[in-house]
Amino acid sequence: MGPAVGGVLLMAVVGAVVVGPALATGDPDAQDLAIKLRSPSSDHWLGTDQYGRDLLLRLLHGGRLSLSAAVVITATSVLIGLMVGLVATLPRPVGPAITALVDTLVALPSLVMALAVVGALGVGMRNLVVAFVIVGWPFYARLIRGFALERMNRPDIDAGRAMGFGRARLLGRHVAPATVRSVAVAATLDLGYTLAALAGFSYLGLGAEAPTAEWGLMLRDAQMFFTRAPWLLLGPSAAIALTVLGTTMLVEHAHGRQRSR
Amino acid sequence: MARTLATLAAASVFVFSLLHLLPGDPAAAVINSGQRIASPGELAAVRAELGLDRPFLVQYGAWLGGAVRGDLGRSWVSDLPVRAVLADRVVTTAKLGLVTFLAGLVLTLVLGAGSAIRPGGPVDMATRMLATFGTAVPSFVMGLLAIRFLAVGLGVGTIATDGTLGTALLPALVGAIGLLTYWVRPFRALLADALASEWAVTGRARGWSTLRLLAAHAVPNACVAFLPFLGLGLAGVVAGSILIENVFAWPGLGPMVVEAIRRRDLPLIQGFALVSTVVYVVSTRLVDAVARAAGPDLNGATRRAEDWA
Amino acid sequence: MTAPVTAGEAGGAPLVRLDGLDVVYPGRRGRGVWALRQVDLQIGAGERVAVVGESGSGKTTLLRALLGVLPPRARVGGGAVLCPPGEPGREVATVDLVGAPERRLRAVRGRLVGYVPQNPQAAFDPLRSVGHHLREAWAAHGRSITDRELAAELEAVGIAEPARALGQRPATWSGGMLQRAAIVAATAHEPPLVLADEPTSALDRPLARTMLDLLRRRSLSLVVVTHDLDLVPGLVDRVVVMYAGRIVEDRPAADLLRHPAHPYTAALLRSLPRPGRLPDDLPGDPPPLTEPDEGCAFAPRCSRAEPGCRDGVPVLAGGVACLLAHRQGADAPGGPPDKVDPAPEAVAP
Repeated sequence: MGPAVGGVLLMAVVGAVVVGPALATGDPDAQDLAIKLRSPSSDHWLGTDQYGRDLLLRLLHGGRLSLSAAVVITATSVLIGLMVGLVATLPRPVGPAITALVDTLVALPSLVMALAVVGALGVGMRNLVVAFVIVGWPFYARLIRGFALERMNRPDIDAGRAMGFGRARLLGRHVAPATVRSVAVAATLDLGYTLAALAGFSYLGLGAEAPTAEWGLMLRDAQMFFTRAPWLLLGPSAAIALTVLGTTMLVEHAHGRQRSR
Repeated sequence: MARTLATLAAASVFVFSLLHLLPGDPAAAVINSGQRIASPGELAAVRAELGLDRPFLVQYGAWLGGAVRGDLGRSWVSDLPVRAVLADRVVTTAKLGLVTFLAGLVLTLVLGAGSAIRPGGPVDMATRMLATFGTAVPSFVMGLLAIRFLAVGLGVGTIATDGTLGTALLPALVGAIGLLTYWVRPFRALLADALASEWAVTGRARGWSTLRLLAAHAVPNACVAFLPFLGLGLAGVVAGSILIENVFAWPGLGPMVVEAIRRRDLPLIQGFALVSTVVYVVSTRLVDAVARAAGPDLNGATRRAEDWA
Repeated sequence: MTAPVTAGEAGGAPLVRLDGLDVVYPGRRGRGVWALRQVDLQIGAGERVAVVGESGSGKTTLLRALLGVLPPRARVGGGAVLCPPGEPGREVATVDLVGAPERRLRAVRGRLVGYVPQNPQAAFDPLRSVGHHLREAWAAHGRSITDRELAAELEAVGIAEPARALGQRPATWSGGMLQRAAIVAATAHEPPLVLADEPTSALDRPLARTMLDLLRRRSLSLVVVTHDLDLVPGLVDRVVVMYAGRIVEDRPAADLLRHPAHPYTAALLRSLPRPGRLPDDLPGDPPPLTEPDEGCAFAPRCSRAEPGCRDGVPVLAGGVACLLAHRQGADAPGGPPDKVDPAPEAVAP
């Protein structure tokens, strides 16, 4: 498969959801029961749902919601993970203690834990984001700690330390950049999976609430009518699949490039 | 071993403190699950009953003590003992889980073998596409597509499931494809290594048929080497099974916990979280231990024949 | 393709005949790896031949071709034919080692052509006992062997306590024992041709001698791949020297060792350690096999190379493929060779 296809795909999805709603004017929540459950046509490229709402509009707006939520979740998890991960590289007693905590947290099943947090906080998109961040940061903490440690033990860093550079400077100038690259790869992949998980939770009725346009929620609706109206399924399914595909292919491409260096 | 216990301890703390994550007063939440407005007197009574006025550690200790004995409290909604509700559901989930696991193994073995024997051949290409499809399409979406296009469209499998094995075809298939996406690449690589190893070439040179090479030698070696990877699918299976059960309305833990979350039935949620986590952590450790035990068997003798040119 | 002139041909059809054999592994973007180029070789029944060359010269590929076990992605050109000896008055079908269906090739491997691998430790499936492997060698062609017979075989090749050893996994056997077991497995059906791929490179000197004797005793015709010319005398009648996928010299052992005709052979002999003389290693590396031929592949490293050497690939004639040797031998019996081959057509990848 072409290397940059992943990047292109991802850009296409991002572009569509960012620019789309501006171009395709209309209210995704506007109901018109007269045209409910119409199959795709030139008026409504993806058809309409059971309330007569245009599915393309809902797809684009829903994409904005999902994508921004996924970005917020990933970014926050990375940030928290970064801070904790770096702290975990400190010498005893702080470092090993934090490391032990992180290692235990990582061993827990994330979906189960996310469900539990949502159960405690209540349903809704905002609580969902909180839950995902709570469950997601340990992974990054461990990742960053690993990279930071590995880099810190390299000869060029030792040389720096011998010359008297402080730890903070070493971390900031030398360790951080290489770690950033690896984290970026993990985060991109995570973005796709987080988006799919968000849709999953919304499908279960634990995330976005009606009448919000959201991909998972649209699939929930689709299930009710899919014998009559199979097109309800296709838009959100394809959107989720393309986004995840875009992220995975992008990562593989970046991986491949790095390996051939 | 110590690590496992520590992890389980952390999980239990986490699960327990969920009660205190509830916005507002936990006592009010208990009563509100019953959909009533509480008077201060009732609140105080519930608080005393739940022991919410005691220090955190004491409460935790009491809860943990109960949990270890099997008492996980009672559902706020139905007032049934959590243990009873869980026990019933766990069996159903385990049934589907087992079938899915086996189906995933068979699928991986068959498709992996087909791909490794003829790299670039039709089976290989089809497997790659299936694996890509499985990574890109989340399990619940796959389930929806399966119901609409396989069950309704083609009549394959049943539309409704009821917890009996007869209706498990589609959910198990969807889950198996999910497992395949984790397993098939490493398995295929290991099998290809075995097929290219020096002893495989020597065996062929002695007249082994492809069947003998595969069935008696290459696949067993690949399976032994594959054991560490079995654990890879575990997290995916747990997550996937919850979603898949909901899509297909399979009456296991999945629909139960979703319902419990919607009704804010915390004891049930806590019970589910604790049990699932314990099972997950224990099985991950077990898989790791098995992998370590099988390791020394491999001997490093599966070396690519080209190395000896 | 020239008419092959091989020394030591026993009367009648040769056992093995390779005609212009090319083996290419197609690579990305049209570049392939040419493992064998235009190999002409004949081996008669009862002959013992050593194939010598550096790693990458194509000797292992040659063996694989003789066994029909080339990897599926290999592209083969030219011909390779096996003519098993039949009883007098009975016709036995020849086998096209390149084009025959897998079923036919499987009947050949082990029964008509035996194989002794290079690394005895890596030659057995680590999960199974050695006894299992040996029994399998018999079973692969429909014969069975009792454990007692098997133990007797092992004892005959010098393995102590064979009955107990049979049940053990390969990891517990020593290299020497495993190699003996490999020889037993290879000769289970008394094949007319035995191939050995550097059978002694993993063993020490005294053990190597013993092993080669064993191999010689148990084989009817033998092709031994080795990079150690010191082991050749007494073992084989004929030596074939390979370089960069081609045969550069193919002459009786005694002649070749005393008067090597090809500069590469001479260089190989000079690089052997001898009392009173330091080994004279050949500088440089063999050419990468990905490039198509332009002239003699050895020319860049050859001390006697001339400009004419780069014009076309020297063809194997009179047992040697070298412009200079051909020129010198113009007055030798056999007459001057045909004119030099232009660069060969690439086998389409």
